[in-house]
Amino acid sequence: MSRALLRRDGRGHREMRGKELRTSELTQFDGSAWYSQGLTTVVAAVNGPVAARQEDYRKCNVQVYVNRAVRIPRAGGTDRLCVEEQRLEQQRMDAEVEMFLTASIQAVVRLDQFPRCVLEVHVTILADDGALLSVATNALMCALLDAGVPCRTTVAAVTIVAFAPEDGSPVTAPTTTTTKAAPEASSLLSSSLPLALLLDPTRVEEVGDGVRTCATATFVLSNSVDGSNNSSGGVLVSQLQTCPRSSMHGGRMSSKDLVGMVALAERAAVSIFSFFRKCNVPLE
Amino acid sequence: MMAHRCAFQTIASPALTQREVEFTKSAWIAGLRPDQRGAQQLREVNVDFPLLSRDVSCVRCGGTIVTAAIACELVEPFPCRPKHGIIDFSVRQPYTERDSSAKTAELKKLTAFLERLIKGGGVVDTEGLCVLPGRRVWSISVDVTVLNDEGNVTDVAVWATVAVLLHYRRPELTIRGDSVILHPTHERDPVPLSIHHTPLSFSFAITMAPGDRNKLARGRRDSQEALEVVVDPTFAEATAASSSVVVAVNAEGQVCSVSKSEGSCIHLNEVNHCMETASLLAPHILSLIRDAMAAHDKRRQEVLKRMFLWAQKRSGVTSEATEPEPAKKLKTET
Repeated sequence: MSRALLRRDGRGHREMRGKELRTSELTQFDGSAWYSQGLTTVVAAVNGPVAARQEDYRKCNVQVYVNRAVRIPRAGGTDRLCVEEQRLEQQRMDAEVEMFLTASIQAVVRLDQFPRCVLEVHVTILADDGALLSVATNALMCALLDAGVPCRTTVAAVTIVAFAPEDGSPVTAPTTTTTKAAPEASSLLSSSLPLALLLDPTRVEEVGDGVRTCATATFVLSNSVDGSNNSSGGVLVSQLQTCPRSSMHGGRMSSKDLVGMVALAERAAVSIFSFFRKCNVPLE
Repeated sequence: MMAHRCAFQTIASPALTQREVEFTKSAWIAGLRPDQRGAQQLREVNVDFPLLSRDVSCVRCGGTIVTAAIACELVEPFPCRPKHGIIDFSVRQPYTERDSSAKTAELKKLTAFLERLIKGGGVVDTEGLCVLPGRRVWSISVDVTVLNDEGNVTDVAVWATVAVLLHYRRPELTIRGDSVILHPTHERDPVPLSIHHTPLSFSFAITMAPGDRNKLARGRRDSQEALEVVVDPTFAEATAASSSVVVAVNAEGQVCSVSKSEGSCIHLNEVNHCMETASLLAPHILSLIRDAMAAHDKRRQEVLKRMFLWAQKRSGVTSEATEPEPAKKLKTET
């Protein structure tokens, strides 16, 4: 029974993939970071607040550009329509990443200190194997620290997938035909097991099997005030993407499940902060 | 080197650019280069495949970092060319406020150069990418991303493209009549693309125009020779040069492409000198690419071996299948 807790790549439910971080490689930018978790790799480059021509002069403007390292190959004939639809879908996902990163920057960077300026961020997605939003946010945080942009706090992003466990599913609950046992059946349905959580999912785990997957959530958590290693400062930005209600377990998110996800994300953010601190050792 | 790197970050200032240009020209007249390289010496070149998959390559030449990624799909061909596959190139670079508007034109020129060199030069035969005429052909998309630009982006982009084309593996096919079976990588080993030859380009900066050199030779009497042609120009050297030539040669020493688009006139013996220098440098770059491919294959095999050992433990093949319980709990808790 304990063997079933492992995933297909050998990790436990609450284990993160291997991380890799390289900073200050792109010398023509003020700050840069090359960050990867597993196979998902993102390169973030920050050009610090520079003078720009814009309408709102009271605070700094934020421009995020998201690029993918490889496009969808071209096609002729009727396949061209499918390729164009896939490209539109990819552009929509890139726009979502842009909006998420813009919200993260506005929450973290003290933009009011730089009127009439623009902060440019270039994010290049080298490979996408799940948890793209959290990897991009972590790369962006390292690039901002490398550029020396004044931030309110340090943030770490975590992605979690919630799905229904195999045993205790409401579908497999015993159905009764007796009207006398109807209240018992309804109480049995409401007292089903809570959702299982997967930390740092891969792309296969994010897509899921279409039946048991409930939601994919990304949380951006700030560092704790006292600098202790066992807590975090709370959620700043989050994105929750649930399956449609037409699915078997769609729309089944409850507040207790969400609290559990946030608690797991807070525990995972501590390990990411420790990783950031270890990478900050100066050269000898 | 650190001071030199800091100076590049403020290259956008016109006064500093002028000082860099003057210093570079004085160094050339004295027979030296600003970063103390020889006239035919490249910067430190590093070829890497950063991901475990085979479709991304990263080449560093000094401070210039270029990444090339490839994608391959089985698609329907164009109606006008039913027996030819599709190969597409794209060069992108993050735009900064300091860049001028001519950067876009330079990237388009680089994309056209890649198209001419690899597609027009017969490196990848598009007819060999045909699976079923009129129905299914391979479509290849190569995207080059310039992450950092410290001069000589053309050469590094070509090296990255050639590295990713050599290293990529496409899925195996089985064709029976009109049906095409695409085998996943765990069923059959993927096959490499058919590369006919490997062109590698080298950029050269011509230091001064022939008229200026004649005037200089008439004026000076000392025996010091001024530099005429330098390879792998940096950003400052490209700005100070009077002309630039790009020569592409393959491993056998054959010249695949010569490109000179702007600047002053040059002598024919200078072009011959560029070709000879490129023929000397091409085997070195190709050996770097081959070594990087071998190192990446070794790393992939080690990772697969580790995964297989873990799978053996999970399925209980070996006698050590029963792990102690506290280690299991510790693993799940973290």
